[in-house]
Amino acid sequence: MTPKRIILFDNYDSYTHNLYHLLTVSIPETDIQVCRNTNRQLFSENFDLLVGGPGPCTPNETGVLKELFDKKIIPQQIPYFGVCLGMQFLAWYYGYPIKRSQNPTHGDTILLKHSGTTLFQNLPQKFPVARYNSLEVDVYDLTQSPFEILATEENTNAVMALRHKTLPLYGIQFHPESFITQFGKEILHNFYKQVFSNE
Amino acid sequence: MNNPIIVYQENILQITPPTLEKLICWVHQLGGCLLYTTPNTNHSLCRWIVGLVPMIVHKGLEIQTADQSLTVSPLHLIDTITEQAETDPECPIWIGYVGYDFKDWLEEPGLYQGLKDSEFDYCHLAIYRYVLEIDTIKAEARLYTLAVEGLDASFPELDFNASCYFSAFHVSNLNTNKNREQFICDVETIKKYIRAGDIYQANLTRVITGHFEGSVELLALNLLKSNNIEFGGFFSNQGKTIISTSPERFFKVEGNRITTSPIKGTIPRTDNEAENQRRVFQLTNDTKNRRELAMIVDLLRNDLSRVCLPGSVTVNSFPELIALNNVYHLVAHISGQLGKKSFETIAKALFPGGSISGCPKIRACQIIEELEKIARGPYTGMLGYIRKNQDMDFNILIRTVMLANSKLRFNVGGGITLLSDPDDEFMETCHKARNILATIQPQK
Repeated sequence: MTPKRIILFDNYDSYTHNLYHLLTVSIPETDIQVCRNTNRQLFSENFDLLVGGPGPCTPNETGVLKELFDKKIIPQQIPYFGVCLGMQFLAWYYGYPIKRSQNPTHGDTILLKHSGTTLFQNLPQKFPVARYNSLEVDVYDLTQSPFEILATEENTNAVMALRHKTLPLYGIQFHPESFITQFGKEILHNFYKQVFSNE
Repeated sequence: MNNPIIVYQENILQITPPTLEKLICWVHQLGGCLLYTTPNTNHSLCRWIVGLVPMIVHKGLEIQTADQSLTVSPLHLIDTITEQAETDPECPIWIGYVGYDFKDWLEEPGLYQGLKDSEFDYCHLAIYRYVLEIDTIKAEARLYTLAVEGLDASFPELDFNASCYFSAFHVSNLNTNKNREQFICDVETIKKYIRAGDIYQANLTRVITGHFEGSVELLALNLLKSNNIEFGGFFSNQGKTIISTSPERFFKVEGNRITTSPIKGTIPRTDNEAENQRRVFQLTNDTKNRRELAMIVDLLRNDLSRVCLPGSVTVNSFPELIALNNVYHLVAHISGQLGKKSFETIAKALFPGGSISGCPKIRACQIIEELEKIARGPYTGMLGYIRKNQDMDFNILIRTVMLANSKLRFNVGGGITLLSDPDDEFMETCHKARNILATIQPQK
């Protein structure tokens, strides 16, 4: 098997390299390159997976990401995995609202209500994950959307994980790379199996 | 200067450790830098490192030598010179500071405003003629005498017999650039940015200034003796002085291991032991402090991950308590295995420190510039040393007095999160200032 070429799309964030290390230990045989969100060389590069990292501000402030989706990710059906801002971007890209969170929190763990499938296969029903976000996607805003909701926050309507129903696009709102999150590695490994298991 | 700068060792002597007073005198008279730890039975290791008489100075963008030649210099020359030096592996080659504003030169251009301090150089990392390493527990000292090939300058001898006498000093016209209302207004602005999704946390500081007259040496001595200091220092060069009473280590490199120890969370200490016990419990269980420390731990894990082998970065303690004379703090320790041992690589990955900037760091630094409006200078930069074997140790320059042209100043600040109470944040800056204020105005 040739190594998967992964682009880790850095939105000028301070957790990008935690994600880099997590990807390295979760996914076998990879070649990961960190690119800042202003990097236009991405349009002419070949890669197997785009990881949309977390970052400051809103999905509208993610550099060339929207253009990259228009020209490359969607037409070529390249798998995508978004974290925090990277997940919010997915909802925003398809025209769904990003709102100020009812429960903004940073550096705290929450419990998930999750499907037990796809990303959460073989994981316990309750485990702590770290949240670092003031903005969120509301589950009720996605009822008629192309997305399947994989997890919400236990006691709110905040979307914590989603996937596109027909394309290989996934996103999680919490931070798998945080030291206070459990099973971050397993979640990424599950994602990898979902997207690349047919090869 | 086109030739490589080769540093070599003329000799090493075992000497009787000079007193702190003597070292302070030398640093002030000859130009130098003292890295200081309060001798304390709790530390198995208590070392002072002193550089005296600068021969080569890296100022961040240029190198200046004692014979006045000047060359534009990238940061990697620090590593090149260290690697080529012909001396004992343990010999400290570079001693000095890197100021906070140097961050602009370590990131891609255009992200920051380019604030520059009018008094202090961006950096002052120097190779000194004389380097002393003093083990205060064993009462032993090593004196390295270094030279630079082709450097055409003469240097003074160290006078071990000269007496040092400290006269008095006086600080007047104390003032701050932000009163309570203005500081609180800035805290609210940061909370708005957090609510909008720009950042999770930012460190906001204000400046206290005063007019200084008298003995810089006595000021340094009194400040270094004013608290239980693990990462203090005294720097003096051509009328510019930095005196640090920092309790915080930025990073330490030993062999291939790098460790960083960010501090977050503060509570004032009282004279009543029962009350202190209650406060320690409150500090270690407080939601705001724990979340803030968690986000800074993740930030520093990220910065270490930029230079460490995948999977090697670990959080070793979260959190641990530090007791100072005036306040208690929480600290965490994070470490990893370095991929490449280089000052330039580490500085680019870690600087400025996460505990004094914010998260995400770049956006937080932009907001800090917008609100503070003035350069921080050496404050919240780092002070430390690099050995020949590229082991290094740097502090975070907080609780630090800067002095130039009779103008004394120091910053005080704290981390602002969504859970910050603006009044409490202002009070925290007052608690942090208490120790320095009591020292510079001893009669009150």
